[in-house]
Amino acid sequence: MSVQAKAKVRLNDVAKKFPGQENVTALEGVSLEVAESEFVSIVGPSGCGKSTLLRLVAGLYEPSSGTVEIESSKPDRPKTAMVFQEHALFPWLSVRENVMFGPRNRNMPKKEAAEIADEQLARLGLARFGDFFPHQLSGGMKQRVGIARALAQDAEVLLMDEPLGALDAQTRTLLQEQILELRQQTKPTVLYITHAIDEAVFLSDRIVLMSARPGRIRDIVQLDFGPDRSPELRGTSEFAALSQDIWNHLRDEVQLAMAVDDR
Amino acid sequence: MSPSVYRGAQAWAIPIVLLAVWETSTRAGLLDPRFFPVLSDILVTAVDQLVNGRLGLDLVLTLQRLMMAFALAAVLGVAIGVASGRWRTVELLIRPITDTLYPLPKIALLPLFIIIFGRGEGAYVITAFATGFFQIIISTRGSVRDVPSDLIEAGRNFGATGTRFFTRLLFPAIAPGLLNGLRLGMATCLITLVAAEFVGAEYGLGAMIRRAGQQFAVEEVYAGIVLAGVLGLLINLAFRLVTPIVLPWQRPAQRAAGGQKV
Repeated sequence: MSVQAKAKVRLNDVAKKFPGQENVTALEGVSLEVAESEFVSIVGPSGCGKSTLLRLVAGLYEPSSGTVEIESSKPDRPKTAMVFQEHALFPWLSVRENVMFGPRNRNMPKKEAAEIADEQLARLGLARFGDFFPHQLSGGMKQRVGIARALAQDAEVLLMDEPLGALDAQTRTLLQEQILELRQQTKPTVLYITHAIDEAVFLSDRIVLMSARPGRIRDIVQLDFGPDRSPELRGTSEFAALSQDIWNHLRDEVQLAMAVDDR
Repeated sequence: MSPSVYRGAQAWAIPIVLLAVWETSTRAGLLDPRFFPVLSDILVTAVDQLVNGRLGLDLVLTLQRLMMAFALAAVLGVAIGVASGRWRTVELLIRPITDTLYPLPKIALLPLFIIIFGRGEGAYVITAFATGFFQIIISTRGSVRDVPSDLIEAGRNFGATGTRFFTRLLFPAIAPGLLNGLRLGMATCLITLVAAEFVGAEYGLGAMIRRAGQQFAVEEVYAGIVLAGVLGLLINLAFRLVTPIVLPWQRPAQRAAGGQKV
């Protein structure tokens, strides 16, 4: 773990139970620190509580026990900004207004918010589409608007919940490269959830492997590719070996999760 | 023919054919004129009654009652519907009431309302209100429930909290369902109102139809029915006109620069 950078996110023995008929324990004993500008991916079988973990960090859920802390660098800076799997754009707002939504809720003047929105849209190659409505865009473009909306918040932590999970393979590959570029340009602190091991290896500094329900951290893999990696990384034998290694770690958990589902 | 004219022609084709068949078959004496008067005679009667008879007053009174009943039902129905869609406690508290009273034919309450409020306007307005009110509660609650959870999470994560949650997130999100619910609510208000007038009122479209029926004035009966139908049609037309103004994002690509999907 990087000792030199201070922790931006600190999860301390976090558990989350959902009361109800089944009394599901989604997460148990999760402790994790994410350093400033670190890119941490969370990988695990379906139902391991990855999304729950992200929502705890976002403050959308309260932990049943344990604490979640986010270090504030400025008092009025939003703590988190989230990118959703199914884009979750507001259909009644134009693309630009979607991106302005966060800044406007912080009472930023309209003109300034629009400038920020246009800047982020341009960064993601969507400069021409500010006046479009979400339903007029393709899946990959909607997802990029979702990313632009999160970037416009300039939040302490960027939370990405399987942002490329609903896209076709080619769009996904392209967007992975775009996210890598963003990483290099703006050095955000990122918590990234994905099913795709290769995606996690391609983007992350560390990969957190989670166990099947109740979700616990099973292993953490440190990657040493550094932030300045290139798309060619995918073709190296090192990359393949690491992906295989992580899959070996994960296979048992996925099988276990499937057995639980089949019951 | 432009596409919109073509669609308009499609929408009106069947009504126009039916009306033409009515007009020609009654004129030709194929149908018994005691039960099926000539269409153009009905229209002449309607206009004559509107200008010279009591029908103008009947119509104005019905419209007035409808507007009052609907306005009240819309405001209270939307407020309670949103609250019960949003908060579990409110839902649990009002559920037994809505489940019991929604299916109850409100016309059955008219005698009670007449006892309570007398034979004034109040009884008819309240009876019509009660119909739309429950309809609007239930459709609004449904719209609130149907808002995708990730949209709500996105709203909260991007700072739409407090009153902004309602103004910037919830109301825009439910607007399509809300408008549809209001449209149906207004139509059901009209149904109950005409029925209530039919049973008890001295004036109003329903009362006019009853009077005409008692006097075997078949053309007037039809004139009343036609006017009630036109009112229903106008309700739907009004909502259809308002919808694209309130929900501009639902309009096809026009607003976008360039227009085509990329």
